[in-house]
Amino acid sequence: MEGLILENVGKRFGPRPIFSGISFSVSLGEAMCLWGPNGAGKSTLLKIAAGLARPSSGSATCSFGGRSGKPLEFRNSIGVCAPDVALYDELSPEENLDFLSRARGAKRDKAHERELMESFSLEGFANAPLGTFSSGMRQRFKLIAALAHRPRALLLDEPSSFMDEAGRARVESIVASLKNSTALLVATNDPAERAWCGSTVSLGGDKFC
Amino acid sequence: MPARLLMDFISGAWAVMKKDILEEYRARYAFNTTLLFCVTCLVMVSYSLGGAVTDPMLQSAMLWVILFFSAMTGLSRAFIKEEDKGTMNTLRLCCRADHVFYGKTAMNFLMMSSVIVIVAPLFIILLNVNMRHVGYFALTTALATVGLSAVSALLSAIVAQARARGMLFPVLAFPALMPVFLTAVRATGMSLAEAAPWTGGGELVFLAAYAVAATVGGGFLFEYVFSEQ
Repeated sequence: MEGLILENVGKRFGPRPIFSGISFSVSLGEAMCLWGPNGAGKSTLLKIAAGLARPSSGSATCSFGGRSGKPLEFRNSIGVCAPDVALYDELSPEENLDFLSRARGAKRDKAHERELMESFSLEGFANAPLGTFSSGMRQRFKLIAALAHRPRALLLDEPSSFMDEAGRARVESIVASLKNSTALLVATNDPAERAWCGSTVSLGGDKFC
Repeated sequence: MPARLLMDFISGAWAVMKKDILEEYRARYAFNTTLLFCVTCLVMVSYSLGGAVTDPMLQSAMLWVILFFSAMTGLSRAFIKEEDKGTMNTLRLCCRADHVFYGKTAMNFLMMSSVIVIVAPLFIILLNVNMRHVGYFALTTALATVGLSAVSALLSAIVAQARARGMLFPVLAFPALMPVFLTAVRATGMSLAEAAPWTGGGELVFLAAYAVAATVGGGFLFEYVFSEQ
């Protein structure tokens, strides 16, 4: 199986357990929703899946191209759009994308980047500092940065937050176009975003429906 | 194959350094803070002491105390700013740990060197210093700055995750940088003295060894500081 595998994952902050015993896998062509109320641990679980947080128990692994390992060993295969993953305000989108591709050691696909910038209506802002962007524009660019290297696993934490209707529709259509070729993990408490996904992992008990 | 690995390494570290140069060029926070601190201290010392201090070792000690504390204010920002802006996770997601460490160390070196290039002539003029061995002084500051930059990059990554960052950085840096500080003071003093400093050479060897140990050892240790939380 190619994709993300979480086995018996638990997380506690000090003595306070957030969640425990969570196991699921997301393979290519599958979309999974992490669903639950605020504080249930959706973002933490997404960060564990991305390799940005260490689980208190269990493990998160990635498997792509016949190779398995920790998520951060697959930098070129994973794209993350989350509030905790910020971009550089002093740099323009063009400079941010240049840095990200150089840092990953990947070749830049400028045509793909231009296409993404156009689809999110940011083509006129390629050289403006990110610090001058509105919250919605910033969120759009975060998605572009997560998609620019054509990731095989896409991890999204409330991807359409701060966006207007047009932006939300654009995110939905992009997610729909990626669903068949990408392992998609979406952390959300928005029913509209949940509807993008085929299956759901519920956190925080049954009270949140 | 080794050539390819070396190119990947240089390219990755350069990506981090170039990003930091662009950020610093636009914001000019760390450079301005460090330079302003140095210049203010030098002017205060020169006004309060005038030409009273003529001993090369005392002059050298004054220079390095100023450089040490200015480094505490400027170089500690390397990772604290990434943590504050939420970009630390972006680095973790996109960069290999060694690329980040050496990119940040190179940026620290560039910034401290730029400050020293401005501060050293001011030090000579304001404290009425007779610089007798410029080459020895340049080599001393270059080697000491490499050690200072590497240790500061490592410590900055450690304290970035703590709450009392401003206080913690000098506390951790003091014991780690004490050997390079004392040796740099002695070597700089020798470059100001009349006697030829090159005959001894022990200080430069120590500074070079410290620089190598800090950059290589820091590269290994950084992996543990940088990895997932």
